[in-house]
Amino acid sequence: MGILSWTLLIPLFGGILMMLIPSRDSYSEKSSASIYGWIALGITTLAMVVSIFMLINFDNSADGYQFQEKFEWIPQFGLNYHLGIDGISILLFMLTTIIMPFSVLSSFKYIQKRKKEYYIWLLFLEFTMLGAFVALNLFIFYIFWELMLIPMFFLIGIWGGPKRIYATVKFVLFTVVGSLMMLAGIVYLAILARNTFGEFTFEFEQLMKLNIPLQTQLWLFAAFALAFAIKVPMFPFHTWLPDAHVEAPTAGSVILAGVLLKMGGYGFIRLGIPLFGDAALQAAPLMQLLAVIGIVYGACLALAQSDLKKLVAYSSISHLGYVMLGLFALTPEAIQGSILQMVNHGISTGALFALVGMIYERRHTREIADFGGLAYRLPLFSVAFMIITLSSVALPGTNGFIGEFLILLGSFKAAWAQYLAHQQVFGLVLMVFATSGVILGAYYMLWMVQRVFFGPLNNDKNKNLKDLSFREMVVLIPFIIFVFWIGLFPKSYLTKMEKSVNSYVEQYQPQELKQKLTVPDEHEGLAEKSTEIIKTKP
Amino acid sequence: MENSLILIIVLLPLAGALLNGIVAAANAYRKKEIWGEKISGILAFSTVALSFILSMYAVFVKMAGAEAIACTPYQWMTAGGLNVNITFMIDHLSAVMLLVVTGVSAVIHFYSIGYIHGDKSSVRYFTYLNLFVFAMLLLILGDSMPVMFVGWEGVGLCSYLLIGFWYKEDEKAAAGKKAFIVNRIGDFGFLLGMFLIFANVGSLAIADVNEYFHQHNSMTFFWTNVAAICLFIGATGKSAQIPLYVWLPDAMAGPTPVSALIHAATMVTAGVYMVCRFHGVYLAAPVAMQVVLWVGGLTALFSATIALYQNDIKKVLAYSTVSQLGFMFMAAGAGAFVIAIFHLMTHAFFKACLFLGSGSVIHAMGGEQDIRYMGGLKKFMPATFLTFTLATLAIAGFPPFAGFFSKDEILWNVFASGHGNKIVWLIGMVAALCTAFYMFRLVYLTFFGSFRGSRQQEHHLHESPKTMTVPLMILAALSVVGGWIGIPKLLSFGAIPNYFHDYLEPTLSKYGHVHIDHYSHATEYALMALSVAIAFAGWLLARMLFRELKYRLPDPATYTGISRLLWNKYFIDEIYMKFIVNPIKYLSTNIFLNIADKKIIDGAANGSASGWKWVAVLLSFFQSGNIQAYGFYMLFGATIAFIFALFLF
Amino acid sequence: MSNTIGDFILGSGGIFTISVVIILFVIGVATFMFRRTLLHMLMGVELMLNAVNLNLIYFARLHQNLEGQMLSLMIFVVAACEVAVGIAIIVNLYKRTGTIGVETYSEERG
Repeated sequence: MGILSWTLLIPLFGGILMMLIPSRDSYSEKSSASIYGWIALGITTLAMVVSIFMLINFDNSADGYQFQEKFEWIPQFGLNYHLGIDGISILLFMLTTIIMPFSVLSSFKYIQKRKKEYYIWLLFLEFTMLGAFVALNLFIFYIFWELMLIPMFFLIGIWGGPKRIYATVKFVLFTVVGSLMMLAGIVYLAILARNTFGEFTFEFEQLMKLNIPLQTQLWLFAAFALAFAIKVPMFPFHTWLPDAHVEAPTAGSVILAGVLLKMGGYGFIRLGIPLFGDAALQAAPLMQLLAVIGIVYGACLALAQSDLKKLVAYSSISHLGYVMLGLFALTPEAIQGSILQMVNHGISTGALFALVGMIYERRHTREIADFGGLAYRLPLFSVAFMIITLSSVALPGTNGFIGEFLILLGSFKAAWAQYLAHQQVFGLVLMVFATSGVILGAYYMLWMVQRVFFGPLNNDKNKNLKDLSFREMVVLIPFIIFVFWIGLFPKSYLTKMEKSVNSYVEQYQPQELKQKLTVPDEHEGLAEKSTEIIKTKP
Repeated sequence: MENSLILIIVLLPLAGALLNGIVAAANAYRKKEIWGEKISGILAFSTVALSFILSMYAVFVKMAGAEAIACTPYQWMTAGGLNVNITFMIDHLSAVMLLVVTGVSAVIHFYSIGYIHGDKSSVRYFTYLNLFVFAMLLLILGDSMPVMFVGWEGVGLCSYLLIGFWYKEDEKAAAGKKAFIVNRIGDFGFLLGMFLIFANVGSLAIADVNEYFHQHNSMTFFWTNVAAICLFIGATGKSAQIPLYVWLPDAMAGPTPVSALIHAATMVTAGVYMVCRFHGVYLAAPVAMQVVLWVGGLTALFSATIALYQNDIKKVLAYSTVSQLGFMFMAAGAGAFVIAIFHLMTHAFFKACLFLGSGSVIHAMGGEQDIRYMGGLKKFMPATFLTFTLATLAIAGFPPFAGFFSKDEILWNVFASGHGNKIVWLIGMVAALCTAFYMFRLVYLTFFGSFRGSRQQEHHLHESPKTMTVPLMILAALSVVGGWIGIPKLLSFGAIPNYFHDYLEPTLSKYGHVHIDHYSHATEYALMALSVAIAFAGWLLARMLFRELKYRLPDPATYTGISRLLWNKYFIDEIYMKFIVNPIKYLSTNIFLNIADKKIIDGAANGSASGWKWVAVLLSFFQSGNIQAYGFYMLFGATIAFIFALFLF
Repeated sequence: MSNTIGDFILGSGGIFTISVVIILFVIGVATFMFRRTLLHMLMGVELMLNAVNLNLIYFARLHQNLEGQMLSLMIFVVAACEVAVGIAIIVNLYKRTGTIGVETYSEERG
């Protein structure tokens, strides 16, 4: 058993352990934190600590998967328990383990009924999410992918808001529609693999060696892409997201935004593009178009919302549009930016949901119109909200900027190469629209901040609100630290994935792009020249 | 790390901001003051002042004789071909900016101590102010475009926070938001330009970029100009040029020292600085230069005409700032980058002085900003009056005040430079006339005649405290003598060297010279005389109309024709609101949200769900609950199967 | 060709037996379909079972092996159980509602 398995199994066994504790207080306990909360906090923290150990031992310079574990499960069908982690997944894996304790902490007050079950589901959710990030066997991946739905289904369905049933059914149905397509694709792939290698196999590395005709690839890619696009969610498969977010309990929203949405992007980068390289390249303009529509459309919809949580949910669609744009640009800058942006989005949107949850606990409303002038009553809360807002609008110096900047830069580079090669301006036009997202992003976020925090404090109900408690600060401060840490010193994050992404791009980038992107020799001296100028000293 | 002195210069204001910020947060948490306005003000002022002193040391001692010094604390990001270092570089251009920014900032910080006295949020105020200086230093010392961009947006953030400093009033918060968003539109252009440049150059270091456009340019003529224009869009946002100037007049909602520091002396000039920084790019892009020239000229005239009819003392100064920035862009567009920076510097002195003076007036008037209710303040506040007048003389372009040298040289360069244009020159002359007129109108209405305000206000009138008048005096003195370091050779007959020009010229002509058409000295003298005459004309006109104002100024609501147009600022805000902002809101709410999202997408999802539901209802008719019916179905099915088996197999 | 009655019954291509089976089965079906009381319907089911049994026995004889007879023995057992349970249910239903009319029991309507 390797360290990956340990990290995975800690929440699983923790959850099982919690089941064995006799339930004392299921339906009526008034105290803000119960024993279950503390136990769950301990378990998730333990998983976090173990994963940090793994991070320390992670070798930045190595190419390929590390900490691999492989056990045979049903060898006749090539089903193996095969785990491993590389530069692409490690940041997302760490994001998951780190975000979990804080989302547990943020639900101490929010969850007042059936606490034991709630924390058990949270732990199971962590187990499935972590599993999906490190699975190296397509079938295992699929199992984790589907298992993820069950805890989320109950988290929204039991502890959600008034329209929770509609939201949770919609969430599950949307996701399952995509997943079933993917299952069909997986079966087809396995049969292809048997025809080629003579035996069933679901190993990623084996499947990637398959030589699939383009027509078949396109169908398979469509099946996989549907599953991932719904999860991301990309326009026009996004409508489940606002409903699910609005109804979910705070921690559910934090995890949904922080981790679950990353599954889609991760699926594209880990499976969609490598398995069906040619098809992905063919579909790339379409995917980028959808991504850019998502950026602008999500931002416009966020503008039109009157509910805080919905606004944040729609902003997620916009942010994840950037991620998808970057992934399909297939330049190292853009892909690194996309992965970092997934992490960033997890941090800033996760924190925003936590903040909205805190204000909801105080006022039991999320309507923007009910607020106004809160900065005067809640200075610390406002400062925290402002910092996260700035990270969300990608202000330079915060994490959001690094991600968006790299994505846009890398995508523009690819679009420019495309333009030079074919004289097509399509990509460049897309880039203009994508970049316009920074304006809209600032507009809806700052307008919301203005309506909630500035202006006169008119509503009497807002006059006696309490500022952040110590527990809430403990939840928020790590988020804020990460905002500035990634924003000011992104290098340690970028180098984690540099090697993996570079070899990834090397493999899947289209040939013509490669040629156009190599800088001609005559410019190579430039960098040295500029440093020479700088170094002139008296 | 070599030259860590630069790092200290940059980090000092940040340290001040952090310290004050933490104290502000702790005050809020513990609900009692750890320290109040006095200590935080002194802390903020001393960090900036120290930064100024160290800058002087760095520029005059460390850099003496050298072209540039730089310091690289760490590598910021690397990804693929992108490699960005956090590098701070002082060359001659950024040295001038550095001294102007830290110097003026120090003065205004000092002024703020008196101004903000008594405000509960003063610790927060000084936090923002210090943070602003830090961001501004990043902007001017950043050696690569992303680092510059950090400062670029950082100053925008501080501007947002400070405009909305008194956030309890909705208009002020809205003004801050407007400033940030309009700036973001500019940043959108800046980003696109940056991407375009990176895709071609493969590096974002400023020296690399300039060098590329100077020598290795493999971009087509079209794209070169597009890149330069994209960068200029960024400049129009930050420096409030047409079409993105609309935020600056609204930004006057902030505290007056903020208007002086951010919205007059430093931040808004960042666009000019940026264009000069990338003069290698602009010299390779003649069309973009023309755009800069024309936008500058038109903005100068446009906003000067608006200023003619404004009654709010700060609004007049705001439009005047927009107009003066237009002058700077005219210079840059004509290829006279040195002169653009020269005017930037002199403008920083006299405009900061004017704003601080207006702050002093507003302070005395108890918050009143309308000049229709002022008048005769001369005898109540002599120090303010004197400094305000000196600065006015400077901005109007009277020799030998600072503004004269810079403005005259701008007009001369627009007239004579190969990139210049006689029509734009004419526009500039008219704008200069307007400038002299509205500035003296302001002076006469505020300080001359008899007091037109209420009794209570008259009783309250007093000269401001020393913390406020001393900065005024410093800045007034600079407005007088500031121009003397850049006296053109022609005027001094070569007796006094043109220090400013000699200092900056090598840096700003590294990537090519601009051709200046040959004119006789007589022409040059004639033009100079003309611009002086214009300043006098503006003054005389204003004196004639407003010297002894016996009547009340008409109510703006009664204006008709041109005056109505000017009073309403050409209705530009309304036009933007109607044709850009509202359509976006309408599109978002009524089309995207209510139709596309709710009806079409959700409709399709829910529709397919309810479609299946109807199928189920239909099928459930067969489920009658009658066992015999089921038996019948079974029999029927068995018969069908039997027939099927019999005839098909 | 033999000449016993048994041969007559089972011989001549089995027309007679098959006819009996079919008639029996159709009676069973008709009983199940058209009688409105549960008891009668149960009897209809039993008739059908008996028809099947007869069929099985005839073919066992025809093929000269015992499989069909074994199967029919098993059906006896199952049918006996079924009748026992079925009648028990019917009796209980009657006790509960006072009727064994089939129209009464339609809770499963969709």
